[in-house]
Amino acid sequence: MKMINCEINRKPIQVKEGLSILEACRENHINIPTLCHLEGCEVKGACRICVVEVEGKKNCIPSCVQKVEEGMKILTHSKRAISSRKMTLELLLSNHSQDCLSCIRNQKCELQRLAQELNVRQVDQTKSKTEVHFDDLSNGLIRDTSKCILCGRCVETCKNVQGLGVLNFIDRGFNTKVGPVLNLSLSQVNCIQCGQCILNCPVGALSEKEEIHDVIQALNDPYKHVIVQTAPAVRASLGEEFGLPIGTRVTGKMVAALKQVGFDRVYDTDFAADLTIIEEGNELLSRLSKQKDLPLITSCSPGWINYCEKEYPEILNHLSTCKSPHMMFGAILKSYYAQTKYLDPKDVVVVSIMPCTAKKDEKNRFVNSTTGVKDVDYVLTTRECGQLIKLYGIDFNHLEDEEFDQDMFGTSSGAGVIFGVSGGVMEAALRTVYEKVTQTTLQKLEFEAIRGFNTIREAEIDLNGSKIKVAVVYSMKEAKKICEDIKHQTSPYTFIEIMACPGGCINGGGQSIIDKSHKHIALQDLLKLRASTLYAEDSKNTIRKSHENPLIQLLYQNFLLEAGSPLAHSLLHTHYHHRDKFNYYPE
Amino acid sequence: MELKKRMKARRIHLLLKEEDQSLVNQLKNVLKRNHCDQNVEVYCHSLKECDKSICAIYPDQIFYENINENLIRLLVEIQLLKDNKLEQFELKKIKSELKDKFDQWDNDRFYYKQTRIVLRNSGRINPESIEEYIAYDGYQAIAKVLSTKTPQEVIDDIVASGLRGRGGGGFSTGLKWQLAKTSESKEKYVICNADEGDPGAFMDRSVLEGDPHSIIEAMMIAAYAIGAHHGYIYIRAEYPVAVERLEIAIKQAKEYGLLGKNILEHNFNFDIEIRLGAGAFVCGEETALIASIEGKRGTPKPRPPYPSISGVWGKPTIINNVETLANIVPIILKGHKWFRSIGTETSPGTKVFALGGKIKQTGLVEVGMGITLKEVVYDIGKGCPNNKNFKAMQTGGPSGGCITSANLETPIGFDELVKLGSMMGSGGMIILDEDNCMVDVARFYMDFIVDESCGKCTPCRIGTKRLLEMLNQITEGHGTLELLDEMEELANYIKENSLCGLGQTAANPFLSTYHNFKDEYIRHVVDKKCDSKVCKALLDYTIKVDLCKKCGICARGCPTYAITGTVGKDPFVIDPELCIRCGACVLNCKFDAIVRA
Repeated sequence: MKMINCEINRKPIQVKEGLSILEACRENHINIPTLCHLEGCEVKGACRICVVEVEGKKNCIPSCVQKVEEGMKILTHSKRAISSRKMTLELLLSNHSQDCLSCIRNQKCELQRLAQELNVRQVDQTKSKTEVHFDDLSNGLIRDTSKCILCGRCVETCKNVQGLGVLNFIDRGFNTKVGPVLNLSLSQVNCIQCGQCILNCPVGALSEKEEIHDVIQALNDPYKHVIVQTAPAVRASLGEEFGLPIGTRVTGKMVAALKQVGFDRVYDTDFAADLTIIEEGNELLSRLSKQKDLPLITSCSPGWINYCEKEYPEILNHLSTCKSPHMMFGAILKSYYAQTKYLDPKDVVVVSIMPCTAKKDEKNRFVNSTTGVKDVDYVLTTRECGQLIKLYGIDFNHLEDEEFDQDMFGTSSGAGVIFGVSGGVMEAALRTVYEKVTQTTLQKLEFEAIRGFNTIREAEIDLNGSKIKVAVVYSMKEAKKICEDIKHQTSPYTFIEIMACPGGCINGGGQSIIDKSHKHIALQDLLKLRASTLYAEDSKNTIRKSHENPLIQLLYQNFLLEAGSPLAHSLLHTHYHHRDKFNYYPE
Repeated sequence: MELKKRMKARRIHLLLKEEDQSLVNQLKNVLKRNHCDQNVEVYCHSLKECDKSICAIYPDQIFYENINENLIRLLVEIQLLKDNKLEQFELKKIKSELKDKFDQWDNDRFYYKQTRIVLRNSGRINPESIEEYIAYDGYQAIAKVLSTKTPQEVIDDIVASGLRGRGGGGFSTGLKWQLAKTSESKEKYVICNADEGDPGAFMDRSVLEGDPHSIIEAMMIAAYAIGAHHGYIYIRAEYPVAVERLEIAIKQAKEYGLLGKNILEHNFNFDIEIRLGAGAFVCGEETALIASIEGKRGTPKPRPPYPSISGVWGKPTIINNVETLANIVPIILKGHKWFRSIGTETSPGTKVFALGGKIKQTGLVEVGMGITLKEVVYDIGKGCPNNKNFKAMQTGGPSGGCITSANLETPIGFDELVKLGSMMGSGGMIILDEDNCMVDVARFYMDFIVDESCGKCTPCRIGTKRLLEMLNQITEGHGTLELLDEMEELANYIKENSLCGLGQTAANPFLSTYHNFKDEYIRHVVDKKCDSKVCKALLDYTIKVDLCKKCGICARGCPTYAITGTVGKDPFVIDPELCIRCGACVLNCKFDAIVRA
């Protein structure tokens, strides 16, 4: 690679050809702040925070756009560069609601940090502001334009990551805002509630719909039996909320904290993941024998389900009818568990801690016809979980590890824990399906071909002579290609795992937010760090296949009888229906 | 006063015998006596063989012969003021050569300092007829290019001609083409930028409506030069006539085999598509225009990459303004040396200006570069009406700036105007007189900019809005000297930090008026006075006690009951708190007792 000589802050430096000034400076540990820059997306040069001074140039140069040229003399923190940045920031703040104290992103806000770094001490609050739109009509997300700084990162994310383009700029000039078409609510358009936009929002303009207060109310209600379940991916990210390094495994601390908070039972959704594998594996085998509705597509990701129902209603029959694990768990808790403990299902409150905002939407889909109540009452994101723990004044980092409640659902397999990584559901299903079909023990449990973080991974599995092709996909942009193939009946696959978020649940819309302009971590590295936690937990587990989970076997013996039984169907399975992409009159 | 209003503007051309020369002054005197000298222009001509004195009245085209003192009086009183013909004196059968002479004189009075290259065919040919265009050497240039020149030779010609983009920045057209030619790509595009958005500018529309084939032909030449096979004309939907005529022209060209495959039996294919813009000012900016053509939101992108490397659909693209393209055909036909002979060394050729504002003769004027601004204002535009004093000239649209009377001797050219803190822009030229308040002018243009900012980058989106708010503050009488400093800082910041050309020049309306008319700003801010009597909040209406006849008419006409007094007893007074400065009392007072200051 060709190297280029330049001078940054009067120091001669060699950088690779083709790097932008911003990238070159980051490589040399010079921090240039930015708000609109997002790795892997189109360079916009919109926020003008990253401007630097380049000798010989009349204007300030946006460092994210300008490539380093031979002999360039760059001043990243000259008087003019700093005063320009400060002016830009002051302008942004003058059109910002500035209710930092009550903002969901207080102390985790890039704008706030920047204001601190640039020593902004006074902002004129008297200036006129852009008309504000507040949208909390959808189940998972809130859009508050009063905090929006129009960096366009959510727009890029929705377009480039999910291929949806739900969010875009509306109007122009000072009236510009970000929102869905015609400034409709997110509940009226083809938004899948994945929450990826939240992860990339530098401020609090996009956030999850908080349910903390409902949970606290339930906890304080003496007549309610409040059970919490935690998704596998939460343990890989919750530590970040308490300043621990990315990828710290905090399973034990999380359980201890939740017990301190006062939940009556703390269970692991991994148990329900095992249950899902039994049901879904059974479904795959039955479809294989009938050669009907293949390929089978997983249904664990509610974002993906929303997408399929809105964009590809033609292929709904390919979706597994299994509910997602936490919904299955909710159904079991409100039937089997309630019966065993002599509880009225109405008094059982199930709280799911999920790395996901779409699960907030999913829990409202249907009322379970067998139990007569919703399967899950409240869904908290990883961030809300952190907030809840802080609210109860728990010193998270110094907690002693504790175990999940061991009574009825206390054991889970390693297959369940890798549900949190893209490819995990497939791997877990294959471990079970392979052994069921071939009646032999699987020698190597790790299916390396479907691990890793390429957007599409595929493998061919030999099941007693008949070979099946499987694929693992994340993000809706990639899923679209698969869907098109299925629609035209040209898909070569038999079984497909689709997750809405890049990298699976470990990078879900409810996970801890990483300050993109401060911690320059590439997405792939982030995924690797978080995934390694879950893979480690899997390999440490003595039970690594779902069907070997003794408590699952017990559940079938005592209650569900067999996989796919009528009771299992009414409790653990669901149905899908075509939904309009755009709905001018919300439900 | 009323009579004057009703009277049409007339031009009188006199052709007088030796002994009748004194009649000119007599005519002027009579006009003055009848208070209509402001509406009538008088020109005196001479011919070698002139046996009788003739007077021609334009635009009516009425001729009288054998004029004398008496007839002149009748002429003014009956023909001009009452619009009745003096049939008995009318010269009904005028010799056609003589009539042509008069017609030419009448034309020359506006055109004699103009050079028409861009507008050569506008108004002369029927724009909906390809035959008429061909009769005026139409499609000769593309034929010449296809049969005798290589693409490189075409580009060399354009480079040698020194033609610079007429859309704003003044970048060399030839170099632009060269860049696009050297970029390797199978697909390339030619775009004609007809998104004319400057307030008051309409030369592109005039060319497209009057001579659409010349643009098509120029685009063909450009396409041949860079190796493109597809062209777009990006035109705003507010120009329906231009769009219609372009559609007709494209259809005709296709019928004649001038667009399509194997044009003129050469191995050259080219097709043109019309794209309608929704009229956003920013879509005149190259990268925003490309986004709009691609069907995206019309916002600019950072450059590089320049469109010549990666333009529409990511392919090399040249974007030329209508006026620039209109110069191509003459350059090819008459050669670059001819083109260089017009205009100045650095800015060859002509420029069309849309002359407007406080000037007698408004309209499109095409002048050779190098002519002074004074000539345009006084010789072509005839100066400001109502004997008002010229104050400033606003050129280059909202992104441009103001030029004061001190700089009117400057010859017109790209670099010369930039030196004056303004720019050529697309050629809007608004004349301002002493009745225009410069703060108000800046506020007007700033308002336009705020409306038209795309909202992508922070300095332009919020910065211009804040600047406008500050300007409003001044016109409302809340300005301070510190505010002016703050504004200057903000304006310079916007200039240095904005993303696109629109943003980088967005503060110019303020900066340019501030630098040239600092006194006026300071008077607004310190004395809270607007000398042009435009900023309402700074005006004071007072009734002069000595002139007031205590009739009370002013009080009756006041919409806010701000005037009090007793009819016949106490003199009337205006309560400044209640007064909304509408000026109704001034109009109503028959004794000029109310003063505005």
